[in-house]
Amino acid sequence: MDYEKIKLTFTKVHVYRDADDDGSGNWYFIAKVDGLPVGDHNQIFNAEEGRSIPLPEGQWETTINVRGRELNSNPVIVRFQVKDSDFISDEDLGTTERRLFMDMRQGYFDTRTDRNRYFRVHYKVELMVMGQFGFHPPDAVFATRQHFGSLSCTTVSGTSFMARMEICPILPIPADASLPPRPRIADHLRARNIIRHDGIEVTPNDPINVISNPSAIPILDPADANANTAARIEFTYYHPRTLHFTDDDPRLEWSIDPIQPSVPAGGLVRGDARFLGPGSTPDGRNSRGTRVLVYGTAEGEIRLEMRFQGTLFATYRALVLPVRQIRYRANILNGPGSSQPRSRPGHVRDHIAIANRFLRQMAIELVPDNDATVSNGARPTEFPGIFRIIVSRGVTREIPLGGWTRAIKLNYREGVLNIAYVHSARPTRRGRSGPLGAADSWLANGAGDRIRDTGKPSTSWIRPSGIPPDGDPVEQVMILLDAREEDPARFPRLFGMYITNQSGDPDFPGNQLTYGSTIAHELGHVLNLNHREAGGLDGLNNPPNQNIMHPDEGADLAQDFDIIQTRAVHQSRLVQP
Amino acid sequence: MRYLPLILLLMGLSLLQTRTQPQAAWSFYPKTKEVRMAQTEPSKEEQRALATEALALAKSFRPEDHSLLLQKLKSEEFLKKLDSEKAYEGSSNRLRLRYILQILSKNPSPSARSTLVALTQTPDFYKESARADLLIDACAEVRPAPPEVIKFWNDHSQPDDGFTHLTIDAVVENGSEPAIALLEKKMADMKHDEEDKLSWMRSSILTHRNDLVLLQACERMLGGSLSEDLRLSLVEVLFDYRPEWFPPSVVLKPPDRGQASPQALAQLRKIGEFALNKMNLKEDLRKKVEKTLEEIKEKR
Repeated sequence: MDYEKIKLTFTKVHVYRDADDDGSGNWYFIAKVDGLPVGDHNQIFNAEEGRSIPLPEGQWETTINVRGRELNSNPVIVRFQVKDSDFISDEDLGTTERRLFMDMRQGYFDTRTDRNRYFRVHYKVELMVMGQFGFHPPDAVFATRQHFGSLSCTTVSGTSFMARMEICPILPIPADASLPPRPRIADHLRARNIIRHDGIEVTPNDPINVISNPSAIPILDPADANANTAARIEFTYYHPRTLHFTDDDPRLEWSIDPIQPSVPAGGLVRGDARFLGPGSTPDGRNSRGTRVLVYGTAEGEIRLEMRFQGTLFATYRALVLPVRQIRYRANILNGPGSSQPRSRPGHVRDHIAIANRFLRQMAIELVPDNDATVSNGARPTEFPGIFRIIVSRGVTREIPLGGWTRAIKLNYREGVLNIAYVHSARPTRRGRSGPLGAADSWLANGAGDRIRDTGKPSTSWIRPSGIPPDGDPVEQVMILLDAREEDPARFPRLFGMYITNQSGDPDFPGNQLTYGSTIAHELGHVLNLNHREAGGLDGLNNPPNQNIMHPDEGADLAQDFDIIQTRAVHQSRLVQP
Repeated sequence: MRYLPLILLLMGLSLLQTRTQPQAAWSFYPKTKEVRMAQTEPSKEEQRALATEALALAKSFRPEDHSLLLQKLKSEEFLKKLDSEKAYEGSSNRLRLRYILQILSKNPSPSARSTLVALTQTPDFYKESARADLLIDACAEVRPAPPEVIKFWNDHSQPDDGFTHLTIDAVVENGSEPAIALLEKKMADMKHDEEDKLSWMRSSILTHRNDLVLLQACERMLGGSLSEDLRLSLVEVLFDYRPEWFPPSVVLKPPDRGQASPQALAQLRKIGEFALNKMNLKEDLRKKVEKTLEEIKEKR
């Protein structure tokens, strides 16, 4: 790497006294840097008092490699000697000497000779940063080295500090206590966290990729890959903030590392992907900046690597998967009188759209069932896949717990997710509110009752995460929900859930998010995911609140699905191959 | 001719009735909704003031205060001001009325009890389903449940009525002998689905399986007319517990067996021995029963 070079260029010599009694002087220069000659000392210049002698470009310059050199004890020595050529003997007009130490200042400098003040020599010092010589800001980093947990950076002005970059796969980001430890930093090296600890307000009109840092990068046709469809991967933390990284910062280089899948089950092979967008190279193999867009080209597993001036700075692991579809039917079950679901067909369509934005993190998409067969008096609405059914009050109101729900069996088709919109369900405790919804029927997962993941970084950064200074991850084992079927002979391949009015007025945008997130959560159960929380039933303990499968957390915080969950859901029998 | 005014009045009423029929066959919202929406909504401050006053009356131990509260609760105008039409569209647990009935139900004074009982005799109060929900639940605290409450509960636990699961929960929570007798009646009622009865077991009975009166009823039910499947399920609910009986988002748990009274444990032992000796239990369930009996033995 060549960023530890300096270039010194002698630019001109100003003449105070030409040392000749008659007419102008005939000067020549003997320049040495670190003892090595620079320029042509045989070249004679006409020296007129009060004027400057410009030195020809490209001849009076030298490049010095200072890599590994301890400049404070072994400085670069710059000598410049001027002589006046004479017929009898040349007169020495003096020598200037400058020592360049570690605080390698850049810019234009000059040095005057002390002797009779004959001349002043001008030169400039440039440092090579990013392969280019030039004058760089004093806080620009020109040297980086990897350390345990951080990167050691040296700035142009010679200051050294520890830098760190993170691309957290969990969004919103958990509190620091739940993340791999960060090496201590001095107060003046404050961090920059741009991504919030709160969730985002997902709406039906948002781009499908609105949630960044997904666990799955979708395989897309290059013609369909764009800023609204590709996976958005972005940094979540860096320090010090004085690095002032920008979205397309050329100092940050991304590459794709196809890795051998940690779990061969599921037929995964080495995945592959391409970057797109203005920062990416024409072949899509590299990109730059703090944020990148990626789309998949081969199913498997990959690691994105971000380098800061050539040194590995941060990594991000993801699965590369085709977007697999789940067909759904949503039935609004209208009872007599006030026993009505509050959601109308247009609301339901919006709830599904919001759920799809959460599910995109796992490369899963809900699509309307296009089969025209209906049962139980279901009547199609203006929206495909959404029906209304008139039912007795007991089917839609205060529906029971601990048994089997009639609501989810109405108008169901085998292998199609059946969503029943009902008025209410019985609360789990007297005086409490009833549930927002519940998954009620599903088949066992193709992976069995457990699924494993051993990649680095670990899924949801469960510690040891593989994020320095954490050690290498250990295998994570997630416990899956077993089948829940009332009577497979009578109701074969029934996948169902119900959604109640408990999420509130569906006309209110905040409630819309709750409805959509509830569908995503309950679908997670239908796809065999257990609850995720510290000490949760899926056996994993991170993140504390941010996973969609958290049992109690609100839709404004619980928004994440992770890699091991994604692995599992793609092996559900509900997911179209 | 002297009947002419009466005939005209009946014709007029008949016309009026025709006009209030739904105009479209496909109507999801009751006509009353439009009528209610036309009323002027009270301000939040007014609603708060009404609720504060009613709560103070509910907390009181003076019969005259409860009498005044009953008057208010019988007034449709008061109720409509207390909770808006919009509030009634949501969960009954979010109504201000809920807190008033809850406070009233926790008030041990006889007049507070009488007020709740009087509401069970006021169909205009509970014609609104959400109010019926709240009253069903509030009556769980009236012990022993008087005949009026039993009738009210019975009326609100008819097949497919949308109240039954809530009512069964209140009945079991009440736990008095008349209430548990109603539970037995419902369990024996063939008009109720077996599925529903299973859910009553796995929710209401499971969460009260330390209650002596309930356990006595369970013993009777096991020897009664329940189907074989439900009898086995009842044994399962009393001696076993599996989270997978429930959807993951709504898991119920049984009470700690260590909190059961010696009498309740003795009753459970009786049931266990009956099940082991008289019922055709699967091996797994048999082991659960035997294990529980062993645990009970240790506690004695």
